[in-house]
Amino acid sequence: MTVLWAGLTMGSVYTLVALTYNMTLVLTGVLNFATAQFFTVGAFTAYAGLTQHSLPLPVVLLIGAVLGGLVAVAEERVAIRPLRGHGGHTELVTTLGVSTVIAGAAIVIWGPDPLRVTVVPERTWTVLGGQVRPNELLLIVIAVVATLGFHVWTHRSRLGLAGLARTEDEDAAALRGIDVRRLSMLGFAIAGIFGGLVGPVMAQTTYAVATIGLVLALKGFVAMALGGVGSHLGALLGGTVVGLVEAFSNRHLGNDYGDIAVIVILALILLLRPTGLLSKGEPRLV
Amino acid sequence: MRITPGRTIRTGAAALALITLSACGGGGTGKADSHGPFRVLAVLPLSGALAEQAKLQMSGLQAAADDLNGRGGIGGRKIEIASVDDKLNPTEAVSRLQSRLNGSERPDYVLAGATSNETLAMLPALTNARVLSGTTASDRSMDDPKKYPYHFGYQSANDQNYASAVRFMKTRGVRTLAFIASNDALGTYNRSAIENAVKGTGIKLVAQSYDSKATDLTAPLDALRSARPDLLLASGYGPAVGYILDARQKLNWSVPVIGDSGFAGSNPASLVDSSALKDVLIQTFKVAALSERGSWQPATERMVKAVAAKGPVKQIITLAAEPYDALQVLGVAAEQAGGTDPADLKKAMESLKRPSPVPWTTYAAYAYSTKAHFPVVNDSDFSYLPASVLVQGQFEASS
Repeated sequence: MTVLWAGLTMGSVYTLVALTYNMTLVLTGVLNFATAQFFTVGAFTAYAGLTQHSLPLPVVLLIGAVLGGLVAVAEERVAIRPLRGHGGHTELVTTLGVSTVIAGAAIVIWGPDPLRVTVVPERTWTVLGGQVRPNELLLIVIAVVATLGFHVWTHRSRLGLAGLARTEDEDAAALRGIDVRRLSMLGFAIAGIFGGLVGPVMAQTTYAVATIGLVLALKGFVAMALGGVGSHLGALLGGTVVGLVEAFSNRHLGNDYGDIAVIVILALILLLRPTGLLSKGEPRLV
Repeated sequence: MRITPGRTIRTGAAALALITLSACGGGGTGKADSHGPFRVLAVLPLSGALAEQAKLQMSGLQAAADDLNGRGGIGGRKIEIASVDDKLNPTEAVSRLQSRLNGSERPDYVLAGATSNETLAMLPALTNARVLSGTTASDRSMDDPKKYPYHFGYQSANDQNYASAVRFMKTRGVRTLAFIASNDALGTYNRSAIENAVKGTGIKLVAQSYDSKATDLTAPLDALRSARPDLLLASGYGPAVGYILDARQKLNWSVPVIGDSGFAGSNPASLVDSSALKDVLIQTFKVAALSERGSWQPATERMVKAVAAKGPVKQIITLAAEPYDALQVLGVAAEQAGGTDPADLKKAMESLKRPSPVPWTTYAAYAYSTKAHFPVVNDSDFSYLPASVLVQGQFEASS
């Protein structure tokens, strides 16, 4: 059961990253490979605020959210907007570049060593026969709540629906009066604020370490592809499947097989359902 | 533009596949000036992920140069230290080295990289140029005097370190040993090293590996726990050390742990709560143990002070001690060779007579020979300490 909790915890981490991929994708149309670094911003903010300056947690979360949002908006202005209308997928290169810059800045400011972050008390609880930590349960709850929240917002709010319309046809959406540039900025801002806010909780599990964003970018992408690109519910399902398959393969087949099992399942699902588990079988981002 | 999931996945996967790494080497024909200064070149990753470690290595090198220059230098030549940043890139390392080998200020000695990848890339050029070199990297393939006659290692590889740890475990009555290491090149080597070390000892080994990019190690720890071992030997570096200790505590597993030198160098007390360090020992050289002050080599105190004077020591002191020793060993070899000709120095290193007191700090003797250019470890070089906070690069706790 402890392995199940570990799998669910890591699945939640992958879900959170997949959600931020989806958020920029739906509202902006950009697959942002720096998205996992928004959590890095939150993680290091937590280390600086909680450990180095002993600030209250709400203040640290606020600073993390603001910094995450600012970094994301800056990325949109510098690495995405100038490429609009040029065609191709050059933003994949520029977002990878932004990701590298954020990781490099973290090394320059805080060094390469992992830094400990404590957001909630470090205890171990026995839940349903397995050992789990409060921060891990919190991550699972955040992943579920955020998924439902983003799903409802995307499908019920005017901005969410505008994003879906933009995803369907950017030119048509613009003709109907949707401010595509504003949406793009909004997509990045939401992803950045979300990463900055959740990053501190994530860092209690993963540590604040400059390389973590690059590591999570890959698994988050797999979770998103597995669940269905653009689908928030799919992100939750994909992240959970990746986390559980990884944990149980590592436990029962050996640690060399965790990644292999994840990729085999991804390949199988994409062969059988190329649009992912929770998409509607047609190439549409919802 | 219409965005389809299929296109997004394909282009995304292609972007994630952007990975670069390469290495190559070459030789030079210049010759060092045997009457001018003794030029030491450090080719180290002074920027990037290992920058702090590299800076500490530079402090050790500079401290040794200050000490030796106060006594006339190496073979009567004052030491001059220069450094180049290879950015942890083997190709960059070779390129920067080659330009120095071909230049007017050719080095007499090169501290060649902080990792095996950098060193292995530079060794062909160094061998071709017949320039003495050393490194703190410990890949065993570098210990090949026929292939790399002018290269001497300053850190024992884990085959020796683990053999010593196994002898320590025998005194503790260990019958089943669990071992965990990453699945990268170093972890795989470490796994083969422990397999060899337990052969013929009667100790049963159960081993698990982990992905070096993993962020949760509950599963492999749980698999090891099911074998009911008497002790866990943990190999890891950086966050993996925290993940191992965290998973052990989460599993409520009270197995005693010994962390290897990489584990110790990650400063485990900075990564987890003190409650997760119960029954956790680290295998470390005495030079990094404050409680072993009484059995330090005589030069240790002086080295520690000299390195600390160059700035705060945030990493384990062995990172500075080994480059410090490299120059001190060269100094003794030059005295015994009667000069600094590379061939004479190499010969003297291979049959080094141990002076009294020794000017180096980490090993009792370096004991190089014509067949082995890595230091030979004695059990007495090690200390097994409770994992505690590092103070100026040394562990506070006593065994």
